[in-house]
Amino acid sequence: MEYFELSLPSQAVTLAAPAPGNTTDVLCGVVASGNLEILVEAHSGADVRFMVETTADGFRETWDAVLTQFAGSHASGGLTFTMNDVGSTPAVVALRLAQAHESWLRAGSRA
Amino acid sequence: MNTRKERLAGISHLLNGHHVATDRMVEVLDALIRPGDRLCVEGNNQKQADWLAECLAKTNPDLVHSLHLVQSVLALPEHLDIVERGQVERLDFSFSGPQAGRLARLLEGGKIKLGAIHTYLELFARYFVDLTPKVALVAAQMADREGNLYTGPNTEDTPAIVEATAFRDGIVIAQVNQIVDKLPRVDIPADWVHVVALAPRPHYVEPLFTRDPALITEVQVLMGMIAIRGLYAEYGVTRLNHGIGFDTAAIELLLPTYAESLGLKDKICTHWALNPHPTLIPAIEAGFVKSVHCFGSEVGMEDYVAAHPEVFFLGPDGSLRSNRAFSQAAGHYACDLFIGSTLQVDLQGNSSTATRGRITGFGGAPNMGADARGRRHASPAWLRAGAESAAPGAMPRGRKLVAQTVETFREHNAPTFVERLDAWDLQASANLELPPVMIYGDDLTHLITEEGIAHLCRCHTPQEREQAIRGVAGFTPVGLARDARAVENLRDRGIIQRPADLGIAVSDASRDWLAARSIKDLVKASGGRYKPPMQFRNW
Amino acid sequence: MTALSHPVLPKVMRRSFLEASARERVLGLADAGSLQEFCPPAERLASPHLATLGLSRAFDDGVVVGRATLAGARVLLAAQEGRFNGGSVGEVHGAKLVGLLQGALVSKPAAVLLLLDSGGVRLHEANAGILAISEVARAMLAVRAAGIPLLVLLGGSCGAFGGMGIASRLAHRVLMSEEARLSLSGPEVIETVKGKEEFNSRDRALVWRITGGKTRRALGEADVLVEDDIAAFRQAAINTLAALPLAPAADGLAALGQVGLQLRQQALLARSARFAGVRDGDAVITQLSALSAAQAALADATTFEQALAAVSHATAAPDTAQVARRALQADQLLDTEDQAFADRLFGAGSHQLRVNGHFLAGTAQGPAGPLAVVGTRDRAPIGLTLALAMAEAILNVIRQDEVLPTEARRAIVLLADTQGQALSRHEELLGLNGALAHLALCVDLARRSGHPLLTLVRHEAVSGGFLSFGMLGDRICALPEAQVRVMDLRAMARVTKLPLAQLEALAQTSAIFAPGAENFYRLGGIHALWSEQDDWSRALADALQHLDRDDQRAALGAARGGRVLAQSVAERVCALAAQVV
Repeated sequence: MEYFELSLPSQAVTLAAPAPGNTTDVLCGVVASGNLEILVEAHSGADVRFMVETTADGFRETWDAVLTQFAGSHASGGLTFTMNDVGSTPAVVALRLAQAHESWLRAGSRA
Repeated sequence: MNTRKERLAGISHLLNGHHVATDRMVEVLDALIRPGDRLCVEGNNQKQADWLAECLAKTNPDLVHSLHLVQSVLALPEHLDIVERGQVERLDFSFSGPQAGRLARLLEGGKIKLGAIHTYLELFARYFVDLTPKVALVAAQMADREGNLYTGPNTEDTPAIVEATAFRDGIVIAQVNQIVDKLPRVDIPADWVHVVALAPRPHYVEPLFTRDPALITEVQVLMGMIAIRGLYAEYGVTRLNHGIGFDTAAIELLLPTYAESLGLKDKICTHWALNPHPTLIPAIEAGFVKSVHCFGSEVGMEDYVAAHPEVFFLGPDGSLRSNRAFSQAAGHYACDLFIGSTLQVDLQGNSSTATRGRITGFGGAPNMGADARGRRHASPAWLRAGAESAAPGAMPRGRKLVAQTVETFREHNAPTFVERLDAWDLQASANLELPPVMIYGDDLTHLITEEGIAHLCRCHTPQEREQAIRGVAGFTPVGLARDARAVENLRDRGIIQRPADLGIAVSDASRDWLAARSIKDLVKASGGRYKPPMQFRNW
Repeated sequence: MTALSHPVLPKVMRRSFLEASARERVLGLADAGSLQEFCPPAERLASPHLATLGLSRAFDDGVVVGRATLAGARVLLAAQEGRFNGGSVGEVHGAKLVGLLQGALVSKPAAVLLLLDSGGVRLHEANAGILAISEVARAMLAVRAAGIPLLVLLGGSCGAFGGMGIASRLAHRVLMSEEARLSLSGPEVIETVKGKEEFNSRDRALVWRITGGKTRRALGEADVLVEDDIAAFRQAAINTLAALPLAPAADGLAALGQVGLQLRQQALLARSARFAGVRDGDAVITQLSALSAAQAALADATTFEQALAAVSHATAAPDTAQVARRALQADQLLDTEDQAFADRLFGAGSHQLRVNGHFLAGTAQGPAGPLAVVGTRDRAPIGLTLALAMAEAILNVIRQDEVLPTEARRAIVLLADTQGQALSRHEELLGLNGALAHLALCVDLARRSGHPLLTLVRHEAVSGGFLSFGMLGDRICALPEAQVRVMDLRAMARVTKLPLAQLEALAQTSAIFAPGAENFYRLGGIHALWSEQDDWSRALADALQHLDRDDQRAALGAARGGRVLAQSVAERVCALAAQVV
């Protein structure tokens, strides 16, 4: 089990946070083998923050690369992505991040 | 006394016409097979002459030895039991599947000499040149009193083996599941067959082409979407072959939903060289598919296939006529596209499923996954791929589309993209003449990963090609070592296309697009005609 | 290049309930935009016990709880996430369910919907898990008794097994897809213990014929068969609620009531007799529906329901049930060990106990009046017959005391001595989980009829057998030699794939998972430990003076420091669920 945090520059996320008390829209995925859950929350800073707990040790470089690409391609400044991972491949991590990001935008557009 | 006539005379006391009693088969083999014979025990990745293989393993090594095995698949333990008992001297084959590890050990231990590892089509071809079997042990569904054979849906390799053997003074021995007065149809005429016996149980058939839609992942759906938009729609691919796997099963299940919604019906995927994949059922039901010729059959698909004479090749009895040799030829010459999956891809685009300590062989993929240099007839997809590949000033010609669809990482986060294939290690350890490469890089026109599609045939230089491969290799070490600017340049020129470039939102890659999401959905789509084997059912 | 139109997902595509996550299920079930989740993921109510073992956690511990509307009606709902640790119930997970149900008693919603998807107890926190399931069961019984419609929806890949298989059958109605499974022991467990011939767990078609939705529906262990489609589940839930009697008194929607349970007892006996020795669901389905096995396998939910309705459900002839009933009588004298035990507990000459195999029942003179005694002996494996024997004995006690004023009704001593549930394909096929739920309903009826319930754990009390009976007592006391457990550590290490040494070391400090009555005491699951030196007659008198009519075990566990989260989490969720908004 490995835990790390990463803060990266990213364009500011465009839409507001979802209505308080209803965060069901910003949890993506489930904690299961080869899968992960991602919780998206707002913070007041300009950066995008990642907090990762993973069962697969020794893939920190890959994580950094995946998260850096995501921060560069998705306007996520002001968001924290907290993840519980059970050995997902980068493909799955990237897909879940994209889904989580889109869920956040969708929730924000409804709020 | 080496002619067929002389040999058969030696067992005349056991023969009743062509028929012998089940319990005399070992005796028959002891008498008919001679030292030095080339022997083919029929078996491919589906049906197996498994009882005859068992009988062979009980023959007397003093009588039956120094054999030269010439057969497509070494799938049964018995095939290697006779090697271990010292009855085999030499081996030429195509595919070893579950026996790959044991075969590697026997080769390393010097128990046997390896001729070559072939593709199916090459081995069949050599049956008619220098590897003609003297004795062939084959499997059929039924025989009649005269010895005509009915192979039914699983005809597969039988015609090729029997034709070569019977017309070169060889002996054809058949195991059958049933002996009847009248066959539903004659697949092999009796005068090509010399000995027939009722097997104590039906021959084994492996449901090798069944993929449970429930196990298809969202990433595979994404890659399927990329394939449909970036390759099938882009080139207008109508004639094709799919390798087996969840990646291609996902594409098959996206046809009646995703591709249909893109308006691609009748424009792509109309004519196939393919086994009757259960995952093709929804596309057939949606009218996507006009024709399918099959290498073999698939367990549980018999009734469904029989109900679709407008799509499949059927005999007068209504059941499928498969033929591996013809379907391989069709896949090589008549299809514009092959797409399959693999374990490793290197920087030249060579791909291999070889892993250390296992000699699995090739099967049929290299014949499908290779440009047909002898092809002369044109089609739009073939011409387009040819034009894109052509060097300036070169004679215009067409090219087959050969695509690999792979996730950048396999399970346990092992990278698919590597600097050096494990095939090199296997070549060294097994003392092979060449590294066992499944699809050569210069045949590969397209590479699809979850990162996008690389149109390798549009690259002008080896350097470009390497960057195009790195550009879709994601977060593997090979991918991370890309030249970012070169990759962006390739993307600008449409050589690399990301999902977004193709109009695909990654977060849309949902299993909801699959036309069937379980085996039960397939059964329902088939109107109850598909009868999945027990291990695939959850009801 | 072909010009492409914009891809649109065909409207006819269903949204599979089986494939959806717990959140997607509740979102799809409830009216759009109406879901309000209690203690949502952002509160990070994860399991501390998984973290201790170095295992991954989920922000919601694998269960969503909240309020919503369903066709405009106010409902509370919960959904287990089957893909997280098999939907297993641990301390936090269970406490969220308990809190939701307890809150329902206050806010009185139009219904409580439980979307269960669980293999049962989370072995990594086994003791806390089985206690949580017991508390869930107690809370479900209370919701049911309060006349609040309680539905269980089963459509996930884990189905409902173990304690959750029993709990499912405590609901008023069970709605189930054919893909879901409902049973007690997993096929793998039965195969491991009894062999492949008894239950080949890899024969998937067989597994579903024994435990799957169609067999369950045919037997009446599920009330509605639903297509694997979230919208179909939603509609089935709406229809089922509309069809339920509105007034609690009208049709026993409150605790089934004595008459209802008597009828159920009769029906279960008749079913056992009718399907004696049957070991394949095809035999059940073909007898109970107008379908052949092949037709049944392919029938959609509507066709299947019609085929069931087409067959008249005449119960077996009464004398068949009578024959079965004879196995339920305790009419043999005690052996010397049991005699000595009973003498020490009740005093020589002041008890009249009889046995029949593992079954034990009778009466005794207690310190403050007559007692009824019902239980199991000699480390009983609890199967259908034994469950029905105990249910019968409890129903008899209730009937006999019916004429007495509530406060004069006899206390019932529940003697628990069980190695767990019986393991067999036949028992699973006929719904041992349902029979144990029936037993639990009978025990709960006794409580609600005024009978004080005292549980004494004798040699062994293990998992399912204990859950549906002994764990329902108002007070639970363990005798000195009592072994209480879910699973021994060795088996636990095998199933969880954790090193035995790690589990052994942790067991030194944590009461959460390791076997032992002492651990259950620390968690509040056992109220008192009796010692060899105690005067058991006096201990008995004392215990009968200290009965908790309401379930106080979580508070007890918190006070004793063994189970610190169950109470606080349940209270938090309860406070939210109790609000009417």
